[in-house]
Amino acid sequence: MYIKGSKRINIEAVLKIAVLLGFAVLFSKMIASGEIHYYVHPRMVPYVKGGIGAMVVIALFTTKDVFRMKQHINIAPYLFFLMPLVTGFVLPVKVMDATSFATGIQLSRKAPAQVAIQPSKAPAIEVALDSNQTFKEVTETPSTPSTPLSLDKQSFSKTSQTVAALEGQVFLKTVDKLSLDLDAVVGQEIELAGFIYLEEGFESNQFVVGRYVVTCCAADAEMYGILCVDDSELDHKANSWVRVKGIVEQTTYRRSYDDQEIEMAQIRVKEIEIIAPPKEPYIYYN
Amino acid sequence: MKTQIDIISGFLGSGKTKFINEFLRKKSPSKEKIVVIQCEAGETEIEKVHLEVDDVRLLETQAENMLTPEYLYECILKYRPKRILIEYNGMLKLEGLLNLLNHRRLRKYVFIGDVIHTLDTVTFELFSQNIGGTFIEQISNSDVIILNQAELLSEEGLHDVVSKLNRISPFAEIMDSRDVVDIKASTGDPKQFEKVFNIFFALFAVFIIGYLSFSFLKNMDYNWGAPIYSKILVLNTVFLSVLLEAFPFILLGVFISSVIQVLIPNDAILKWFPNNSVLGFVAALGAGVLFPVCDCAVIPVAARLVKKGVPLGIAVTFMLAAPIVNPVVVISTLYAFQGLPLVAFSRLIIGAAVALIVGLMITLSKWDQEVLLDPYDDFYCDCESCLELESNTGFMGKIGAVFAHTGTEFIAVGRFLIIGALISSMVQVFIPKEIVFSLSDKPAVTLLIMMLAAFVMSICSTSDAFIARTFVNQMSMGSVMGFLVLGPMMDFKNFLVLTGRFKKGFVVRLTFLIGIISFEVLWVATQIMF
Repeated sequence: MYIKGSKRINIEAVLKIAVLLGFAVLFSKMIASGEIHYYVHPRMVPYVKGGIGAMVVIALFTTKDVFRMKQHINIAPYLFFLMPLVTGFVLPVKVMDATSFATGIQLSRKAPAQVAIQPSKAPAIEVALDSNQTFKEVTETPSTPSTPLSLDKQSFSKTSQTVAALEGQVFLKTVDKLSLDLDAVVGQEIELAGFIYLEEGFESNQFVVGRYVVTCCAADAEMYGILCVDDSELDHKANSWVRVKGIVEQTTYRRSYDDQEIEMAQIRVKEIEIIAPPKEPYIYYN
Repeated sequence: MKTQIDIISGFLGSGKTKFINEFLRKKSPSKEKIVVIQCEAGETEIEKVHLEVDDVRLLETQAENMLTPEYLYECILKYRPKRILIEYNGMLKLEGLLNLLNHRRLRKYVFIGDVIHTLDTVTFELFSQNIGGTFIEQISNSDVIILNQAELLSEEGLHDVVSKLNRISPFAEIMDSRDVVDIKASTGDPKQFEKVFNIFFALFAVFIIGYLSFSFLKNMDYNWGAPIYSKILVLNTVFLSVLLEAFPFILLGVFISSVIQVLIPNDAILKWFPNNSVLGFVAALGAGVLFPVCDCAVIPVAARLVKKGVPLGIAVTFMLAAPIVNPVVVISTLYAFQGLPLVAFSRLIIGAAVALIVGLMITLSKWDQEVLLDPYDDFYCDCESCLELESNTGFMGKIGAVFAHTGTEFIAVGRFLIIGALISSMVQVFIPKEIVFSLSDKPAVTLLIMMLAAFVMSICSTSDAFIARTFVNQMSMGSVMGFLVLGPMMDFKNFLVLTGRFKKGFVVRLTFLIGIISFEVLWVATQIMF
């Protein structure tokens, strides 16, 4: 898309500077307001700052071109840059919640023995919930006294982390543990905080307590969670944040697209309360 | 009524004066006063016969500095011409003259009509390689290019010249001197190929969007809960997050590429990458370890290496290996697959193997080495900062050129990144992963599916290991390895960025070659390992 250059100033240089400074301002605004954490992992922030610096410097060096004549200018590339600039400034950021993705979520599923990788080292397995699942509950009477599920908090408690961040890491470790070592913790008491996620086909007493885990940026955000069964009168509204306390159980359900029966972890809720959504809802993978 | 100023530039002997004579001869006699200003008296003189007519005046400026705004102002005042033809010296940049004509004193009285450049097709190749900057600048600023002695060239040779000229100045109208009838203001459309590419691209984008929306609509049986506006917001957030993550690395990549272009002399580069020997490939792999950047950032660097003369096969090996063998990616793979170092290790080995094989095949099958979009400028590029460089060799000048050039390349490469990010974000947000899982269970097919998924999702190689991890339970380890190996080397985003730097035919062929080779290697490797 070519336009005839202006006789007064070099439009291309002006566009270049506008694009570079535009993004520099947009990114800086995100960092200043703290919104950046809804977009990328905190460890990426130094790189973003570096990018801002680079763009400003390049813009400065481009200013000397502003008064050089250029006859014909191709403006097409600049239009591409304009699009995210406009949406970035105009549209508000969206914190991922229970309704965000069309994809399935990571649930605490018991690591199957037949996976080719050694079961003790299997990564947190996830399962896609679909609408036609049936739940076959296996109720087990707790054989061990209900002591709170103590995870080795020492291993990741760094004094610099905020309480919320710590809780996030605990959440993740818990989900992991419940899948890797379910047998060992069945019957133990557990406490978790997250938002309520409802899948089509859930009974009224079923929900998932979940949180988003971000590895690098919002594009790879994945919901991790644990199935819960709660018979209290509390209305399980999707997206509301809750703190649940309950007993770990094992249950099975049938995956509709291949009819496989999966064993997974479940919390039988004893106490549940609504809490305010935290300021940092995402868990940043360390 | 403003005076129209036409500029006729061109080198000594290229046919400027001849052209002016032709014009003067063919123009219909009228009361139209024309002033011809010659800045350079060449072998051909303005024919006396034209000058005897009342309405044509010839002025000659002997020294460069005689042509000033005041001089032109005086000339206009004295002769009140309708048109001024300025025959402009070949060794000076047009920019100076154009700035002059925009001087505030003159602006009220003149407007720039046609900028015409006459060119001797026989010496074009020679001149472009030896004289460079000024020559290119004049061509790129011209509306009309007149080819002289075109009859002396073969059909192929002429076609070659014309396509190179199109590269330099896509907007210009190229004419054979024998066909010139009259100088008139050309409105000119963008050259055909640019138009076609834009249309093709727009159609492709529409197709992709259409297909994605279609498949998303097809799956009405999943809970998509939120209304459309909320989904758009999520899409926007995801899209911006990809840009936030990728921009710093793209900037780094083009910066390194600019440093190589401006600061490092060609022979030094060629010394590091010895020609086509085993060492060259080893160097390519080694260099990959030293570039801890994202897969999109390495493409401008690789393109720059090819421009500087590194053999194509070796540059491709570097380009494919760097996003896999670099320490950041290795570490992130180790993190993602904690307790399974075999994954990271095999990713590294398989990736390096594929990169090496592809590069070797390119070298051995003697692919056409002219694959860059602008191959003519082997030793310089045509952006303003590089043209300026020739006159300005101070250290600060060079630094300035590096940054200015970075800006130019960033814009050129960035638009492809933006499109790729948008599409991959749409895939992430709208396409449920279950589709991938339920498609098949034959191992070869699942491998192909995972490779395709990697291509479409276009995740940066520094973090795709974490996404790969989520596939592990539904797909075999072998097919997940396909995701891990193909993703950094070739995906939709990379494909687009490549088309900004290399010829489309080459990019397509390269993509297929990578796909086939990696499939074969992965197939064999995963049969053995998993």
